[in-house]
Amino acid sequence: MPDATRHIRRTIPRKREFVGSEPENVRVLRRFLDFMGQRETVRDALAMVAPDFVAHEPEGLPYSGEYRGPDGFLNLMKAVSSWAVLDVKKVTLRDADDVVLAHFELTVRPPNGGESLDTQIVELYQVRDGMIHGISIFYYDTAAVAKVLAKAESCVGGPGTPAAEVDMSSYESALEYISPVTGTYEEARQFVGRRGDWVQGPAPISEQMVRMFCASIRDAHPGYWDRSIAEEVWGGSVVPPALLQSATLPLPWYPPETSRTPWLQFEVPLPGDSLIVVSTEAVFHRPVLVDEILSHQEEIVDISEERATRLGPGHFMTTVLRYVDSRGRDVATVTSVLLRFQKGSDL
Amino acid sequence: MTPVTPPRRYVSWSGIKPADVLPALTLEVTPLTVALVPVASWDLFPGHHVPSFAQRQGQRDVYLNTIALQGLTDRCVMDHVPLGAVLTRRKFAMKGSVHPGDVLRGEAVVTAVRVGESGCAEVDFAVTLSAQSVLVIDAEITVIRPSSAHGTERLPEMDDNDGSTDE
Repeated sequence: MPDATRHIRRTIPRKREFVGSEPENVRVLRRFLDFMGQRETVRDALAMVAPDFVAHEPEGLPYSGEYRGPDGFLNLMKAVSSWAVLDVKKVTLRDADDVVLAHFELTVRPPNGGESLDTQIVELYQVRDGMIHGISIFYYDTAAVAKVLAKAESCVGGPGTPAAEVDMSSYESALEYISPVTGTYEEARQFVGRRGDWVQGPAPISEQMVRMFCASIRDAHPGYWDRSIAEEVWGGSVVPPALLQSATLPLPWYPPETSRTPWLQFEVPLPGDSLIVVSTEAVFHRPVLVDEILSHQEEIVDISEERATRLGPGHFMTTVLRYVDSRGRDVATVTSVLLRFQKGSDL
Repeated sequence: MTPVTPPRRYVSWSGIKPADVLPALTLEVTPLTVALVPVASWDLFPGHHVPSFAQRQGQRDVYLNTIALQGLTDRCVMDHVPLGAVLTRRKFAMKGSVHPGDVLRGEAVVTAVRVGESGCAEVDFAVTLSAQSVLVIDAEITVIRPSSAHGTERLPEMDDNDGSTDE
């Protein structure tokens, strides 16, 4: 199976040329298509997908089928990009009340090279209240597209893999989960001194979480395992200091209506798509107890000029996270140095 | 199941002296170790569970996350200081990565014993984690002996001998 990562950039359509009038629904769709065209803004496109979203790819294609909801939209993007490179030359948008017609003139080819096909696709987008509720997709010549793609080897599931079974834990979905915003060093410097919104943990830290963590690192400290000792010494079961960061990490999925506050460190536009921790200094003002719910506020305090590192050129970003309890009392302060860099240059 | 508590180096604070070397920690890192940590810590960064992602980052395989390495660093000290000690500071630098199949060794040395600004007894430790003798974590840890009333705590050495059984 070919490397799944090799197709990511090539499958992103080139900059589209938009023509036509600009009613509100057309503007919404233009924004949606722009977001879809950049890997780092796929999350923004996903936020515009309505819970009742339905898309239908016609029969005869390797990724034919029905895709429902935001998860279905992600599956559709992954399925198409694993089988085809769509090089869009021109897009025309036309408004028709709750439907916006999008006419694409494009070249289709398999990700692993081979014959290409100049063709046209018409998509009818159901747009209401700023959200995308569905897409009906019509190919000028479905059979011709299927013939060109017949030589493709899906980079996700291999030839013949039904699109609906695309692995959500693939490299691409992983990237979507953690991709930081990219930009220039000059843009990033504007973030120095900026503080993010307060981010509350999605749930209290549970004894179950503590014990699973301790089991994974074989930590037998009585404060984590013996309630009677913990009660006597600390006033309750204690959370390992190392689990502080876990207290406010986001879940991998939320119900569509749930609002989420992103981590500021992922919003800083810098070159490079990867972020690693280089060093941290944590000061704990008091022990954290099981069942507490914590919040944090993040501040960007410094961003270095480009430096040479063993992982390649990158920028060091220094952040300070202040953790507080449910009454706003300080619990810990963590200063971290992170490295933003570009992974393998053949991506 | 409650694991057996390992023997502590110190039963009381009076036995803690600068340059003391704490018993070493060893841990064989298995694929299960690496897989459990993201589940337990909610750290779903793909480098810890998607091998192709880790390899794209230049790693040979998925690697142990920062939270686990911080936990193991803490263990090097907290396994051996008197019960009730509170970790108040951890300075932690990543020097390398830890993969399934590695055998981690953690070592801690007492670097300072003093009375802190709050009046509590404070002890500093230098901690290292290495995998196959290659340094992966260089850290400093400070623990304090808080008083139950959160008041002033004097170092035991300044008081009469408290009957410590430490070496």
